[in-house]
Amino acid sequence: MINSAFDIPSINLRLRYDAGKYPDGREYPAVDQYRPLSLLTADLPTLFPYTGNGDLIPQPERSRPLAEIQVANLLQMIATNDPWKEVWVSFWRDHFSVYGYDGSVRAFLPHWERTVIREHCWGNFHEMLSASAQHPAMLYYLNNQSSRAGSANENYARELFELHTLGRPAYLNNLYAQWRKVPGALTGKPTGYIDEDVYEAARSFTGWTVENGAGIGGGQTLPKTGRFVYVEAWHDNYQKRVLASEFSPYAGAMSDGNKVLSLCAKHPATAHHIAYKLVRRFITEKPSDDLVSSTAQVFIHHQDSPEQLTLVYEHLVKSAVKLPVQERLKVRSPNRLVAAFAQAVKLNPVLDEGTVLGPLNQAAPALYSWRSPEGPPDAMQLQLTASYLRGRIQLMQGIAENWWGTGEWNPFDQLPAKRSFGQLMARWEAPLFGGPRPELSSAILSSQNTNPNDVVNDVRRARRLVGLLACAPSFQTELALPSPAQWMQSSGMSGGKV
Amino acid sequence: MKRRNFLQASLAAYLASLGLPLIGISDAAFAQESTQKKIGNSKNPKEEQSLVLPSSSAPLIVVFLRGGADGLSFLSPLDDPDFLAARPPEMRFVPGGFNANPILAGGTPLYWHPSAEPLSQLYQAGRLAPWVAVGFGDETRSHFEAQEIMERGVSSLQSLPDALGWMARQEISRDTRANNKINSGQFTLPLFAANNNQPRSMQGATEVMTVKDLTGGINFPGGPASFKAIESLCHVESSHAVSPLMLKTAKNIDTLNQSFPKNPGDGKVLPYSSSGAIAYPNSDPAVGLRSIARLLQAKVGLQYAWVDHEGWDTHEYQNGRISNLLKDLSGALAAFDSDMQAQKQAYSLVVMTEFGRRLRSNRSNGTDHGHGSLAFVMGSNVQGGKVMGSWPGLASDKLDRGVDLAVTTDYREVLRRAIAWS
Repeated sequence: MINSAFDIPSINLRLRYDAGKYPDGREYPAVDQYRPLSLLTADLPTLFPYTGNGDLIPQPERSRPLAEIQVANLLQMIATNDPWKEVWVSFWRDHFSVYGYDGSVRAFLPHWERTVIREHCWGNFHEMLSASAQHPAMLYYLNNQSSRAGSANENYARELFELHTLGRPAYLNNLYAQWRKVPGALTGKPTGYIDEDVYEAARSFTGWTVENGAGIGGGQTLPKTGRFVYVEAWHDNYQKRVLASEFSPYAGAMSDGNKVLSLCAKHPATAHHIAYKLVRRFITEKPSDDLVSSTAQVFIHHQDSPEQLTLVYEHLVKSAVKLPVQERLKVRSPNRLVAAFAQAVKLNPVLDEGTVLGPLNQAAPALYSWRSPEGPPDAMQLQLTASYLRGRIQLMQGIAENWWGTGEWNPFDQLPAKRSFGQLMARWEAPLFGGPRPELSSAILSSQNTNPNDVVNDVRRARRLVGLLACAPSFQTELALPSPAQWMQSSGMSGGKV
Repeated sequence: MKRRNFLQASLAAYLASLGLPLIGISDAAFAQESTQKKIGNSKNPKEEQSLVLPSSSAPLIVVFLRGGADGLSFLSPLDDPDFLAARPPEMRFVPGGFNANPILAGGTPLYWHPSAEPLSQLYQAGRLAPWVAVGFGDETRSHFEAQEIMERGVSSLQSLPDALGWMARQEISRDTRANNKINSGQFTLPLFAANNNQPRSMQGATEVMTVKDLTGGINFPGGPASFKAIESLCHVESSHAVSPLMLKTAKNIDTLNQSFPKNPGDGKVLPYSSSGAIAYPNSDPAVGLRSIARLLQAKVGLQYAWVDHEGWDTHEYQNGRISNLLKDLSGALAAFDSDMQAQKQAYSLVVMTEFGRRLRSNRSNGTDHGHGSLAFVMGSNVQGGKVMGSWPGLASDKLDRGVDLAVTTDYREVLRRAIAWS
């Protein structure tokens, strides 16, 4: 099994805030320290106080889990030799998007990413779905933690159907409550879902909550651990019908919710929905029906395999090569831009100050910053708006010119003591683009009224020119998938045998 | 080539370059404007394919409340026993002070939310009209479908005329530049989203910019020299998939920044300052509205603008959230209006949301996805001070599906009226 656990150098990330007071008047001191990324491996009870519950962690420190996970992702992208693995991780992070700027969700992000996304993204979809359903980040984000029998909270159930599993095309909204009219329903194989399914699924998940100190009646309270808990007293135990399947009353602890997850994970519409998103994200913005349905077939065929998603990935790798490269270009993420540039110019970025997070998060929606649960958009046009394009250009120049203390690099590396601008630019074409691109170097130099034959001595000017080179459309995009040969080499799988 | 044909051809080419299909754009689609007066009530879905509004004589601005705002909390029917039965006291407010006296929707008294005092003042000044029970006929209770319906200007996603957002359609289907006062040069910016993310309503537009905060201008990182470098790179790589978009956007950034007033000393863009008596709050959606105000002042030919205000999906702990959100919204609208009045800048603005919320609250002290919603129309020529639309009532047999406020006005009717008042 491919491993996507963090494998990053240890750094000390600066934490700095002023002295202040808790609401009850207790004081906390000012802090200015460089601390290790200790929350990345923390368990839920350790992270729970970062929600603010109990006022045990000073308010300005409660964003630490988010800062650590953002820096760790950049470090991982820089450290890896297989950036495509990180693109796969980010697909699933976006598929199960949670909003990490909400205080309760934010606290659990390192655990969420470790145990739900990175742990399962090469494994089995049903298992990943189940892990997400029981994780406090999701239980808080889509409010299931406060859902109770009576009038259940429908937020999670609705997005489970629409976003995590069956998808919008399977929402037969004009049938509303007429479940018998859903094609296939009378033979137990409904092709889609209706609002009634959402309502019944919401009832199924009542009582799925978080140990957060809440009272559960009879003078009892839940402990404060942040762990998942099923509270029988809050569950709606009566019979239900979800996706034309009958649920018995009093079916047993968590049985209703687990049954919904299973029905959703194995529904053909889920395979199709996810296949469409995958092809779009990894191969082309114009997915063909053939490509989508063959991917869905692989998803369905291996639905019980512990390597289901690896096998789906392998199918994508094999299928992608049938399309021309130009159709498969995807916009690079800001993390990837920094990593690719750093690797090309042999810069080992210093991230201890954390200041690079600001500009990084202006070049695209920041990790965990998408407020609504559909996750950030996957379309070139939306990734290159004026705001984000400006952020990208700023990011390339800032990294090249060390605007944020990430470190300096030697643009004259391997060049003679007396070198021309032309030599300087040619030196960095292959590391940046994988081969000579003299037309790009010429474009830069002539735009700066610089004669390629002139001698270059100014190191800052040299860095600036190479940074501009990295603003080229070719550097801003890449293929999202490895070639079959790369895949075979990295994974030990059979991708080469097409 | 007739202008219409030219537009279709260039539109098709442009959409193809974005990988978007051009579905059924016909002469009929462009002619809908004149033949289709009552778009929401048409029986034949073919007839109500898409929204092409008349030209707005003043800039039209949409503030979109993402997540489905609970209109029943903005203007609450606190005297209605059905409302009191459906929402426990912790889900309501007690009127007093500015909101002691209700306004009337037909015969139904509605009370302003305590955070909405600025809105009630705009209402009293006749510059704002609330519109009750707004929405569409489709039964969707999905955020993303409902938003898409409203941003594409359609009545349902079942039959779609094209891949455009309705603001893009406005831009493409008529010559927005002709009736516009342009300050300098050729640069015009008919569409602008004061967001980080471009809204669906502008998808397919040829001239559009998406920037949330223009208070300090939008300088090109690295200055004019790096703009020249990007321009050259895009020319050299002109066949690359992202080059056309990158080039156009880079040019827009550079040109737009030039249109803002500079400090003569250091040449930096001067921060925008409101001409009005009410300051813009430093929160959403005020940041976006302030950017729009700056563009209007710069006279770059802005016709349609969009601001997202996020966070209205109040499935739990609704009361505190709505208080804060509504305070931000009210303060932003009041600041924008005072700025526009001081500058004698005509405008028309619509506040809308994808759907209203369930009448009956859930046990998380929140509300789930519903149907009929509330809209506001605000502006220099708005004949406000009265409640628009018809209140369907909250008795079970008056509710949509027995649970949600019914829809009595198609959202496109609200947009049409906003333009008629522009």
